[in-house]
Amino acid sequence: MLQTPKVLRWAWVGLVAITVLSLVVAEFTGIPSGVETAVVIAAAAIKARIILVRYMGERSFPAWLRLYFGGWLVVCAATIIGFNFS
Amino acid sequence: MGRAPQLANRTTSANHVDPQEISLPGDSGFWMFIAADASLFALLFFQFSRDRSSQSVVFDEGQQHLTVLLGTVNTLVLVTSSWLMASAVRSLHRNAVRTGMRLIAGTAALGLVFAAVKIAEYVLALRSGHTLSTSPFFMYYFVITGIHLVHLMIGVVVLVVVGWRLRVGIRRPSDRTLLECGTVYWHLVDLLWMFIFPMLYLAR
Repeated sequence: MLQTPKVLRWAWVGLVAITVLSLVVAEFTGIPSGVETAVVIAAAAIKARIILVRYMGERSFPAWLRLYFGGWLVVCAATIIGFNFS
Repeated sequence: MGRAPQLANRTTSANHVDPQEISLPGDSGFWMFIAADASLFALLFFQFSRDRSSQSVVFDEGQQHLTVLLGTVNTLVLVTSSWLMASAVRSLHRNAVRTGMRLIAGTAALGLVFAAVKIAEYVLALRSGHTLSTSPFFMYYFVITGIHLVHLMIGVVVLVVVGWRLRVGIRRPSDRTLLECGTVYWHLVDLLWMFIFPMLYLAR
């Protein structure tokens, strides 16, 4: 499913903004490392979701592929965050 | 720019694919490959995170030697390249072949910028005495980013081939498949980096 130029542009703005916010949280806020990891990995999952939906056309995927990538996102984020707290 | 502009006005025939038909995704076999590739990286993320949890001091010490700014720059380069690629597909869908070709060229150029920055990072690390065998952190750093870099360079080659096929005119169904698969593959390279960057550079 092709997106409009406006949607593609706003997706890019969102990706850039979340990247910069992640950098600020990680480098300049001084929050506890566990919380910091959870925040930057959650931000990564949101960015990955934006790429899937807005650029890869995830909503036009067959059900098995949507399920796979949805699961892949959750597993990747949960693995990194989970081991960080273990 | 050769014959490319004429391409937009051609009609569909048995051996010609109209750019109007270009859309995502590519064929299902390729998606199986994409899913398997993403799974491979998920395993690498799992192994990295497990080892990090048991050797957090070693991993934290190794991470301090990375240049976060360069990783951030590369993240911005990749997300911008994905925007250009998605815009290229839209342009081709609208028969704006010249614009589509330029956007694909821009995407490939940003891919080369990413590679140049990554190689500069490797040189900095090696000059500081950090190699595959220095510590578990740098072993994972070189392996994960190295595999990703190989993926990216394959993507650049595919984009160059796609751009060349557009220049001479999309005539075969395989050209259309190549464009679709190249687009999906490029976005996968970006998708994987979304986790690699914070995992290696930011998470502590």
